[in-house]
Amino acid sequence: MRGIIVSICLLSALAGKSQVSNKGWFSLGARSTVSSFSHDGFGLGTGGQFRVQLSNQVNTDWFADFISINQDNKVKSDYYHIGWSVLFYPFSHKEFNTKVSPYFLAGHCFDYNRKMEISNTANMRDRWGSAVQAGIGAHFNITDRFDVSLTSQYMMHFTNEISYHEHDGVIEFDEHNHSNALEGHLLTTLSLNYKIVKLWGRN
Amino acid sequence: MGKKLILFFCLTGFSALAQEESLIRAGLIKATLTISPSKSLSSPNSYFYLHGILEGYLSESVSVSGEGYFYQGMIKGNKSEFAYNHSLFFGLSRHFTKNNLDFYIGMQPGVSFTQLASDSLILKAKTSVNPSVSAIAGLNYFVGKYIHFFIQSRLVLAEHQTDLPRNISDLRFSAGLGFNINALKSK
Repeated sequence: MRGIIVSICLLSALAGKSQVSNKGWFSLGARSTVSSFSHDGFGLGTGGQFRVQLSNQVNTDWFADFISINQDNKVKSDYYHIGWSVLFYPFSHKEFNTKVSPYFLAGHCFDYNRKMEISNTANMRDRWGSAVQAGIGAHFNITDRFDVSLTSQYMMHFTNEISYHEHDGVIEFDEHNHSNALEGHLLTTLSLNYKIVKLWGRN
Repeated sequence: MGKKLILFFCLTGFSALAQEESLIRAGLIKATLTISPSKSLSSPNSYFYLHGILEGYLSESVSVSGEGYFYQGMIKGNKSEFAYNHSLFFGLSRHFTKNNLDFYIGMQPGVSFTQLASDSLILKAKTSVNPSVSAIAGLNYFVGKYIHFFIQSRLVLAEHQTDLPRNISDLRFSAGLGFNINALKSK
């Protein structure tokens, strides 16, 4: 009799766990980004994001970033990104340690680049553009609702790049087509996120 | 009869203690304004700021905060290289609490607004808006429902990028008295 009761308790506990769903969570976060392997050089960025989780294995990330790069102490290159990515978790939380949730991500963003001469900010050039990005990352779940996420993704721009040239001490800007179709930058982002509310799937 | 009375008072006393509300919980809002000295990581200079914090606790272990630093110049009163170096930060912190003690670490991305002081080399300096990265660690001690003491240290990584590029990364320290209130009733 005692065995039957224990079995029923175990089965109901397992059944309860299998009903746990992550879909519907709305999270808000802040992020810092390092831009590297770029024609412009190395830069730091700051930004924010929100996430809307569509299912246990699919999440969406909506972000805005401001990245600034110092090119040879002569030109300041500012990038503004606003875009979105889809995150896919290859392991569901039933199969993987929920303290760490690895994922693949890919998405699209609009980007604006402004380059200006550091010693003469009136000498500048800018352009609007579009880009795609893809990479890998992982959530480190500190509590049920709070996670630290580390993401590394490569972003390819689909527009002309602005470059600068120095002639007799005068900085000049021009736009050119990509010499390499894969030209872009590697963005490594550390973000802190908090699940604020479950928009659907509360039961 | 006397022993029973003593036992009754002890039990009711313990019960009252057990029911005492925890101060550090979701809904706790704290604010403070203090003077914050800093040490530059790229030069021997030391600066100070007026530092304001507004923080809300989402749970006992996680808080969201916005912080601002208003540049006040060099600590030793020397002429500063900067006309201003203000900064704003926003981020989340993880708290480790025990009774009224609250140790925390966090990350706060931010933006700094800087301008070099105009001189013979720079006749009219321009403002530079610079993204910055910061990590914080600190300790709060909640004295009561409305007051707490705190210490905080912050590492800031950033660069000024107009007129003459300058590394403005520094280590900032803050301490003082803050005010707090619980905006939500305990469950």
